[in-house]
Amino acid sequence: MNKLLEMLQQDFMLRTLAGTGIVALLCSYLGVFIVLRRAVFVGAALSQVSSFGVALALFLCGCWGGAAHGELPWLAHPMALILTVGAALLFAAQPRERRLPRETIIGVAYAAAGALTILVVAVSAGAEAQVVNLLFGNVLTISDTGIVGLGVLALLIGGTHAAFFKEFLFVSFDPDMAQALGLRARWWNALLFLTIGLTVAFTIRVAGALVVFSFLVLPAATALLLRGTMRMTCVVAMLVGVLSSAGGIAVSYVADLPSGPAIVCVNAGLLALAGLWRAR
Amino acid sequence: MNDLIRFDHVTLGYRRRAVLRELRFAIGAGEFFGIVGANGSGKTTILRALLGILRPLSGNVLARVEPGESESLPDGGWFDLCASPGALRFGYVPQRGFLDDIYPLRVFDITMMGRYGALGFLARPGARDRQLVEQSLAHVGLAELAGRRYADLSGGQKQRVLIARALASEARVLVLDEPTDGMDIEGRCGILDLICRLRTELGVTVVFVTHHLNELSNAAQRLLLLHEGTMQIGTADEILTSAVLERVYGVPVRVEQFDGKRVVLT
Ligand SMILES: Nc1ncnc2c1ncn2[C@@H]1O[C@H](COP(=O)(O)OP(=O)(O)OP(=O)(O)O)[C@@H](O)[C@H]1O
Ligand SMILES: [Mg+2]
Repeated sequence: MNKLLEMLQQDFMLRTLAGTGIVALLCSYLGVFIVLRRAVFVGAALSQVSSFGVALALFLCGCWGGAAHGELPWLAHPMALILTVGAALLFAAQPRERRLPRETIIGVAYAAAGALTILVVAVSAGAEAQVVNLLFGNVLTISDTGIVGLGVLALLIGGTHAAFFKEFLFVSFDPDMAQALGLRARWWNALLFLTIGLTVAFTIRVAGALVVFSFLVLPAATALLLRGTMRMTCVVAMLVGVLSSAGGIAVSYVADLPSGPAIVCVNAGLLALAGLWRAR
Repeated sequence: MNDLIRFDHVTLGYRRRAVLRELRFAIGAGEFFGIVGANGSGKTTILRALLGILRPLSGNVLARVEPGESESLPDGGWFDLCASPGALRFGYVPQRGFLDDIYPLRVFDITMMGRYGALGFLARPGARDRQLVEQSLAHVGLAELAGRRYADLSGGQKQRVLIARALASEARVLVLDEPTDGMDIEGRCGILDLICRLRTELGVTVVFVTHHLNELSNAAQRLLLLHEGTMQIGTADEILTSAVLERVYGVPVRVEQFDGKRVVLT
């Protein structure tokens, strides 16, 4: 208990709690759409593409001899952002006469981006640590500007979804009827996936791929097990996300464990509880 | 009868591979129009073109609105359905198993989706929308199930929800893709009676797809028969004769009358 109080008196821990809290809210909410659309690997593929962006930036800057050692070149974030958003839009496209199912396209992106990342890293000096850092993230190093950035992102994504929730739900559930009623399903889909791409690109820098992926899947799964209405499912998912991020960070602080995996484990624990409650 | 929708030399297909060529027919306002054909004959494909979801490989699917019904469209003139989605309000009842059951949606929520087109974005459903949804659910006899989860309903009940959703959109045209597929006799008759009743009460045009000729032999005014790339269209009296059916299907067919009802026997 004392240790928990001590944790709350430390600035960097408060920043960590706030930062992961925002990441949890955003990803858990979007996760409801991702799980309902049976596209959970979108999260994994997008994080892979994002790290490929960083690796590519390291390589290019290495070629031009620009980057100082041990520091991310300026190109890294824009590159990761552009590639991630581009991939998200690619996953959104669902032409009627699709040759390959969406899961397959996501799988191809995952494998290709993963392999390319390793290859590009292999030919750029000193890039490995950077990419590893990105993949596993470090919630303990978030800065004040990082928090502000996340807040802006949350307002943007939250505002878009507050305004267009019913359109996003409609085109996800029944695109044909939506189109028959005059909604441009393709554009709404693209906008939905754009919000997902932006969120993954930004939150991965804070929390790392594993934590983001788990937030995209586990809270939504927990909430769906409780069988509420659609709105309740979204709210419960966000609550579960925030709860597991705070719980995970507390556990990691008290027991001196890495925080990312602790968050994922608390998430999984809550899912298991919901499963037990469902099965009783 | 005024024509409401016109297929004008329409060729439909996927990836430049034509499934149906040179379709030419019209659907009248307030008509019960049946489309009958075997699996894979292109019934759903025609419906997609009708709804403006599938762009024809060539030709145009045209529709006409009543004078004064729409500001942006020419009065009484024909317009391309693909170019102005939503201009003619369609209520679409998709083929069974088409919608995913994992969504935590209640019967009421799904019926409310019928209102989303008219609502426009940013607007939230108001009292009138809720009233329309309740009326539509009452029409299909599901008023008490409004709070139930869609996933927990039986197949026939789900079908009724989708019909209610189509009604809630105040559709001019009800487009039903095999709504009675996999239902028992009672359910089948129930749905068909419901559709016929809605057509007479609300004056909607009905486009009904099935692969059972007998299902529509008494309800439909006109029939489109699809068989291996060929099509036959005409009134029920013209199509449901042993001569036409034998030519289309290539097997002996008899059409009998029982109690004033037509039955097709093979
Ligand atoms: N998305 C698609 N891409 C490519 N070809 C398709 C697609 N959908 C349908 N087809 C082809 O178009 C033809 C007509 O299909 P359609 O779904 O319209 O048949 P249907 O009459 O509705 O059959 P069913 O009774 O089984 O529903 C079939 O040969 C099918 O293979
Ligand atoms: Mg079909």
